[in-house]
Amino acid sequence: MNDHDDLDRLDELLSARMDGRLTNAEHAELETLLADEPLYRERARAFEEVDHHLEALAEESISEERLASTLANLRARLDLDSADASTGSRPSRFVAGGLGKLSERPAIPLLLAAAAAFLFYLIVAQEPNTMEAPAEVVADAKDPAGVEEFDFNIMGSALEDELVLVLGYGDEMSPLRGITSDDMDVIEQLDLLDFLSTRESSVGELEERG
Amino acid sequence: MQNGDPDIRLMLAFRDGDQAALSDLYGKWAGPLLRYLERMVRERATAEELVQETFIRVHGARERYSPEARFSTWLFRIGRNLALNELDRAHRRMPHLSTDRMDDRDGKTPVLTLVSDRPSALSVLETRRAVSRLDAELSELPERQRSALWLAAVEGHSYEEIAEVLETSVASVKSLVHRARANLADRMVASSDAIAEGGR
Repeated sequence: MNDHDDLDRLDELLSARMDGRLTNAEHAELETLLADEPLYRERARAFEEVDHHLEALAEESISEERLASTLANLRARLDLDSADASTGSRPSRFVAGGLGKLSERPAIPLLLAAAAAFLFYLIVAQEPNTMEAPAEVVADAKDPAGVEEFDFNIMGSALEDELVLVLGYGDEMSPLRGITSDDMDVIEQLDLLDFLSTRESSVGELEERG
Repeated sequence: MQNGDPDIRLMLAFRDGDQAALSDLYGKWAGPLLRYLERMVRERATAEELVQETFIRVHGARERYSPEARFSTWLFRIGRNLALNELDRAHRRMPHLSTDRMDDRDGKTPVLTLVSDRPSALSVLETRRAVSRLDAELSELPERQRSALWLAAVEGHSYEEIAEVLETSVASVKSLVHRARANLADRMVASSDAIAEGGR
């Protein structure tokens, strides 16, 4: 066995000892190794120090308030899920980074405002024949560069990001626009995707006729 | 083994309608699970969400629950799988981001609470620095090594239990734990040497 193999075996034995997994034979083998070589004893101390520091790390304070707050959120979500189940609607879904209650999410008011403004824009402010077909963008939806071809007569406006999002770019696009994929869940909950998909089809039909 | 696990009795009670049993399980396991998930995802809020989601899964699975392993093993496996999904999502969202630091501590809670018998201030400081270094080095380990070592050294899970959490063999767990310790020992020695060099 070469030095590397010796050291690897030593590491294995040291680790097993710390977890109480050594057999009697292995224990004897380890004692022999440690007795013969000062460097191995140093290695043993380094291993012990790792576990000592891990234990200190585990002493990290997790406050009662924090656990209680998490429990309160959990209860709220369980209540929400129960209500969803009883009404037959979709249960709330986990979204890392803080779904919690919908009202607590900072992006919600913005998205609701954007959705309302977008509806206004579609119904009142926009003549159908002034719209560029979004078909190219949709066809190239996996290509982030496709955004540059997107001309909805509102480029640069406050609605642009939300429109790019709701028109179906999803996870790949969201980092470019500063909107996370979490927001897609909200859009889904508002059923805006279906609405916009229908709207896109209508626009396409209008353009074909025109 | 299962019959001797008081957590399983609680889970069975919860399955049979005792709502307080879930609170008891939460009270016992939310802290350890949160610590573990924080080591996994390196972000406090996300770890808290994952704890919630883990217990929601427990809640949702109560009617079909049957004890096949220790409750904690089952719980940590759920938590780990959720964390892996979240890490995957985070990686897809922002692949350029490193997950090596938690940067949103509230500034009020001490990062570490050290148990000691009146050590000197210098000793406390050195220990805290070493523990912080270890925390950083731990985050650099491959996830399976990190999980295996944390569950063995900190949570005190047996290799058999860890094998269930990681869905692998006991031999693999033994190897993961020993390589994790060896890697950390190497890194800690290297960083100590670097600090010593810098101090000269």
